[in-house]
Formats: sequence, C-alpha cells, structure tokens
Amino acid sequence: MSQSKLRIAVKRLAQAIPTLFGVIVVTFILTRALPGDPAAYFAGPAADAKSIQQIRVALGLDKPLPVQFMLYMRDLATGNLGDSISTGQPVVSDIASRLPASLELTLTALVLALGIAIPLGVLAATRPGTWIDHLCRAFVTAGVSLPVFFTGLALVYVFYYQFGVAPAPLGRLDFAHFPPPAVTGFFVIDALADGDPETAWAAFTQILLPAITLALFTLAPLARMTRGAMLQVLSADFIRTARAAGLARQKVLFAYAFRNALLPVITTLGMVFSFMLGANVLVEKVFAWPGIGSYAVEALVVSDYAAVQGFVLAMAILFVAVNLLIDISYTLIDPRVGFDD
Amino acid sequence: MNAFVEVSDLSVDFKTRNGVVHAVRGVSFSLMKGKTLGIVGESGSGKSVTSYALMRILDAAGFIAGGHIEFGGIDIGAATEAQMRDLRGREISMVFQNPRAALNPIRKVGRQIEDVLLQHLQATQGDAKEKAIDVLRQVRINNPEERYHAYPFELSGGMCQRIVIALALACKPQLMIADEPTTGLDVTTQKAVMDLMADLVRERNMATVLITHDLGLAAAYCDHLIVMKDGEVVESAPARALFRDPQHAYTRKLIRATPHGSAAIRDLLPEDLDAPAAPIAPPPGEPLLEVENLVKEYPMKSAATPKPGEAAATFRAVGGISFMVRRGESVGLVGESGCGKSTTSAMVMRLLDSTAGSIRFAGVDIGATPARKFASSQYRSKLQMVFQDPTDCLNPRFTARRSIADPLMRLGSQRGARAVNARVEELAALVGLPQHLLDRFPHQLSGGQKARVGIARAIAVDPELLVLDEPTAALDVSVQAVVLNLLVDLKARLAMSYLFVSHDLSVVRLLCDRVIVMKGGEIVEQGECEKVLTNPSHAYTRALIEAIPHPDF
Repeated sequence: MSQSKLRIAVKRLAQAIPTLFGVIVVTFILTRALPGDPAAYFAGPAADAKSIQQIRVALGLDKPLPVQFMLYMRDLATGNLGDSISTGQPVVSDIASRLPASLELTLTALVLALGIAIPLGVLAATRPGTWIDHLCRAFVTAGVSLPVFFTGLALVYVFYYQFGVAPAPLGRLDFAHFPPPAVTGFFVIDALADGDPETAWAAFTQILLPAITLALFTLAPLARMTRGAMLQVLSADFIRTARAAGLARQKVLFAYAFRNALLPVITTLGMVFSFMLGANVLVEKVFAWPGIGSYAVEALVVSDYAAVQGFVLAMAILFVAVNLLIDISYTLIDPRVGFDD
Repeated sequence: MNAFVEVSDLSVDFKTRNGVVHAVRGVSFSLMKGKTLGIVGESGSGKSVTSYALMRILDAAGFIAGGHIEFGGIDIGAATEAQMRDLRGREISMVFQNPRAALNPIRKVGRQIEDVLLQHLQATQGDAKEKAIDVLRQVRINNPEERYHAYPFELSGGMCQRIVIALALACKPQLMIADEPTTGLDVTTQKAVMDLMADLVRERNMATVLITHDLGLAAAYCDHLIVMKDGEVVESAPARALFRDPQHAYTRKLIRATPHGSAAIRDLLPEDLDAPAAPIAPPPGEPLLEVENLVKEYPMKSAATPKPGEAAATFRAVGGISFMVRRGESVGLVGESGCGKSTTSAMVMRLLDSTAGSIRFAGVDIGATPARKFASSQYRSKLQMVFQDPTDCLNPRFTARRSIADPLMRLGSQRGARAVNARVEELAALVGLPQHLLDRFPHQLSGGQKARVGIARAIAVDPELLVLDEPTAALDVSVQAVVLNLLVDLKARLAMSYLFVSHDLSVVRLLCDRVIVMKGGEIVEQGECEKVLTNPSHAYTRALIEAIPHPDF
C-alpha cells in the first residue's frame, strides 16, 4: 500500500471518532428516554417506594442527566461499561462472551452466502435467460421473501424433527461437550486448535442450521448485486477490447470483468454484514443461540441501560471497523480511489 | 496478387424484440496486404458491425446471416470459437473508439499488454514485462518503463489511444481494423495518432481497415474507400477517384457536407436542395460583450499538502484574456481540450465565477453578479447557450415541447399555457422541427432533431448573445451541414451574436467572422477568420490548421 493510501486509511479512522462520540451521546439520551424504571425492575415486584429509591441512589440514577453522562464517560475511559442489572455481570464480560457467538454465526453465514451468491451471480450474468439465471432469480426471491424465523423453523422441523440429522437447536454446543478453551471465541476453531475434533464437529453441526438460515437471507442482495454488476461490466468497452485481443474466456471473465464487478459487491457485503450482526435476533431466538442480538433485546425490555449502551457501542465500533475494511479493500482493488478524494 | 481479405455478400442480422434487424446487407470488398481500406458512413450505416463480423465479436444478439469472409485463406464464418480466439489479437486486431473506455480501468496498462502477449505465446512470464515495455516504445511512448505502471485514468486520451494501438499491434498481426480511432481526440493528437498508425502499418506491411465518419481523414490515409449507407455499400472506388468523380448521389451529398477548402456554408447542403442564398451578415455594431483580463484559477488537487508558509498551488485554467463580441457578430473560440475555452464560455454564460477580470454585457458589468444569483438577473434571458451533446442536455423525462417551454415558463414574457404553447410551436417552426415531433421524448428523436430542440430552447427567450459549445460535434456530417445552415439563418433573422466554441477550425471558418485561438488558458491569436486561417501568425494556429486532414484532390 502506498503512502497516500495509508494516509487515507488513517484519515478514515480519525473520521470515525466523532461518529463514535455521537453514538455514545445518542444512545445515552435514548435509553434514558425509554419508558420503564430500571430501579423498579431491579427491586422486584414486592419492593416499596423507599427501597426503590435506595436502589435508584445506588445505581446513580437520582443524579441529573449531565452528571450521569459525565460519570458514564469517565467509566468508559477506563473500559468500564457498567454492570448489567439483569445478569448481574459486568457488561464488558457479557459482551465478550456473547459477541464471539454472534460473530461466529454471522461470519459462517457470510462465507456460505458468498460461496453461493458470487458463483451464482456470475453464472447468471454470463448466461442470461438460461436455467441458471432463473435459479438465481428464484434464490433471490425466496431469500428476500421468506422471513428468517420461518426458514429457521422449517429447517429445524425437517432436519431435526423429521430426519433427526441435525442436533437439537439449543445453542452453540449440546450437553455432552464442554466449550473449548477460549482463544478466538469461535467454538469450531478453538476446538480444532485444542486438538479436539469431536467437539469441533459438534459445534459445527450446531452452527450449520442457523448459519444456513441466515445465509439464505443474505444471499439475495449479494447474488443480485453480483449479477447486476457483472452484466454491466460485461457490456463495457474494455471487455470488447479484451475479446478482440483474443484473451481466453476465463481471463476476460475473471481478471477483467469480475475484478471490476467486485467493487459494488464489496459495498453490499459491508452493508449486509453490519445489518446481519445486529439483526439476527430472530435466528438467535429460534436456535437458542447465546448471541449479542438476543442479549440486547432482553436488556432493552427491562431498561438495562448499561447493557443497551454497551451493545450499541460495540455495534458502532464494529460498524466503523467493517467500513474501514471496505475502504481499504476498495483502495486495493481500484487504483482510482484516493485520487478523487 | 491475391486478396488477403475477401468479404463477399456479407449480411449481419440482429435479433431484437421487434423482430430481426438487417444491420448489414450484401457487403463485399477485398483488401491486399500493405493497403488501407476506408469504410465511410454515418451513424447506423453498419460500418462498425461489418468490422465486428470480420472478427466475429458481434453482440450475443447479432449473427452472420449470409455471405463469406475469408482471411488469409481461412474461412472466418466456419472457424471454431477457439480458432477465432487464436486469430484475434494475433492475426487480426482492432483499435477502438473512445480509448479510455476501451482499456480496463483497474489494470496497469503494461499488464494489459502482457495479457495479450502471454495469451498468444509471444512472451513468457519471464520476459513479458520487457516485451511489453518494448511494445510501448514502438508506439512512441516516452518513458515506457514508467508508463508500464500507469493506469488508464492517469493518461491523456491520445496516450490511451497509443496504448490501445500497442495492444492491437503487440503480436504483430497482419490485419488491423481501426474503428473511429481518433473520434473525440484533438485535431493535433489525431494527426499524431494517425501518422503513427500509418507508419507502423507501412513498416510491417499490414492490411488496414479504417472505419470513420470523417471523409477528410479517410481521404488522407486510405487507398480505397467504400461508402456505406443503411447497411449497404453504395459506392466503392479508389480514394482519389471517389473524391474526383463520386458516382452515387449519397457519396456526393457526404462529400459536399464535409467542410472543405473554400466552400461556403450553403455549399454543404445537397445540390438538389433549393436553399435561399445565405443571409449577408450586417456590419457588426457596437460591442455587446467585452471581456477584460478574465482569470480563472483552481486550487491544485495535488496529493502533497503545501508546506506551511508556502502558498497553496493553483491551476490557472484561464490566464487573463480579453476579447470582444460586437452586435451581430459571430466569434469563434478555438483550441484543444484543456485550453480553457469551455471555462471561458461558462464564465461568460455566468455559470461559473471568475477569479479576476470583468465581463461587460451591453455596457453592464455582469461579472459582478455571482453565478449563483445570475438566474434572477434581467440579463439571464439575454445570454443563452446551446450545449455540446444534444442527447445529454435534454431531460429524458421531458417531451420536446416541455423542454422548449421550460425557459419560457421561467424567463419568458408569455403568460398562461396557451401563450407558452403558441410560442413553442412558433419556435419549432423557426428551427424546422415538425410539429408532430413536439410530443416526443428525446430517445424518440434523431440526433439532428434533438439538436433543433436544443437550439429552439436556447433562442426561446430572445437572447442577444448565444454561446454555442461545439453544437455539432456529436452529429453526422450531413446533419451538421443542415444545423450549421440553420444557425446562420437564425442569427440573421433574430439579430443575435454568436460565441462559437469549437475545436474544429473548418466549421469555425464557415460560421464565424472573427476567431480567437486559445492555448493553455491564453489567447495566442485573434483576428478576422479568413485572415487567421489563411495566414496564421502564430505557430500554434499553423499547427492546428495543418493537422486538419483534408482531401488534397
């Protein structure tokens, strides 16, 4: 990477700081604006007004909002996201245990979706009007129109209930196996690293159905974008030049057309990834997956301020990181990026 | 000597939603080694399709419907796709129009040349780079080692075309097809590129097919010409004979329509057309537009930020120019791309703010009004513009009627739909646009009709000065001839003044009284059109004039 491209990467990173600060402020205000009183929830149904007030003081909720915010910022600076009132654990450790579960699911689904969507899109674009084009269209339509909880339940019904080939949809591992020692937080990889193929296989079979469910949903925009981008690039003048120069079909298709078509696909990929990570709550619910999406929903229901804020912050950081990765891959693929900037 | 390329009775059809279109019908020609064949015709004549058929790179919908193509003893129509792939690039190669788009935007140009060399086994992984650089050197690219690493967007149009030629010639093919290789390039660049191509072809004794709409170019570089119209060959003759004694009426029309020698503007129209004599321009009146020391600077977009204490680098697009347009006068603003002529016209039009200098219109300093606020100025309607691309300048969702009515509704004195409509119809009649076309959308109109809509729109609010930005550059020659004549008539009838921006000196000569030649943001020469063009005082003007290809017989 050249000097100027490195500078662009650093600049993009710096641009994320105000974004992150904005996210912190907005989530802080929004969580306070939500109906519900965490002190009342924490105190339980039997508590009287006095004990609720005590808890409110203990949680620091009696102070004016600006003071609360300053305290929150001070804690943030030390890496302390506060304690979750529903789990009783520090939010940081909650997120640290649940985020890898979501990431493992999302990344597996993404790899699956890419592995199907890109070849499907490329084939559909090179053979418009044939059966593969129609197959692509069917996949895309099904992907966007079938809700994930439906495909999830349907898969569980068929593969677990009817055929019994899939394990029970009860989280990341069945009761017969212990979680591998955490290195990456991804069970399959950690188990393999630990030299325990049996656990790795068990974790793999657990993740397969939710990942397929999520992949079916993600596949649609990716396949569609690949097909569209390929069609557009294939009609470009430089493809005609390449053909007129007698270049082999594979060369024209991959070195010339596909690399150019990748740019919009990568943009879509980034959007899809960010979206999947936060929005796969339904899949996590169906498969009892201990991910961050279900954690956030549970926290939201009980006005668990610290947990919700921690979740949003983690998502924002991930979002920024994904966007940065996309920008970097852009500059690597397209030499023009960085000059018009 | 046997013909090297023999095309007999070639027909190409396209399958479309509305049935089969016969794009090329019964085309025959032959070509010998070392000779150049020109295929001349206007858009839609089937000249490009003929060449694509020769290489079998037609779109999926197109196919060779009949006839026979033989290339060096090989039957192209019967060859397998794999055989064709070996022929393409190695034996037959092609140079395309719009060189920047013809190159892969995200691959180094050197790598693109390597791809061709490797494909046809003219190089190995080890020596490909060296050979690619050698090919770049052959097309006279300075600093080929450095240029090898350039991407197309970093190179000028002329440089890109050299790369495309390098791609085409890398494997030393025996036949080269050049499809409008210099359209869109500046006239001096065109000359450099064409001369380079002619030299290489001569050195290697290649056969060449030059496809062009420019008769002058064809005459200057071809041995034999065929003229195509609507998919058929209407005339085929040695270049000299074709110009001396054109047989077909269409050929005669084309030759007449091409601005040439001492022809006056009416001479461009077909002979059977009974046009009234060209209006005699009234003697120019008092100054209408006075431009003094006009400057436009842009901050440099350099990667390196200026060091503290150092002034930010600026690019002077226009460097303090002064000129004047009198009432009833036509002034040509001529120069190559990047010379600042479009920037100047945008500033005069008050679409762009100047950095310094003054623009006075009828004695009033209109340069003082910021471009942003000029839309509400009383002078807005007095200054109007006709744009370069007749398609791009029309809103695709507006009918011709709506497009012409647009300025009337904003700036016109007409009140009410009826009055506006009456004026639109009057304008359509004025520019010769049939009434029944008024309710069509731009994509349903031909290039010439769209140009008329653009002109009608510009003259709708009775402007005194019309800025014409290459109004005929995108049109076929026969349409250009008609539109130029229309412009001359309208100017006399409506007592307008023209500022005619163009890179084409031969068109400027026909239309303008005076000409201003710009280079690098400066005026290098200005004066009476005839005088400047016949007896240029500046070397650059001379170079521009000499670069115009013209049939010298």
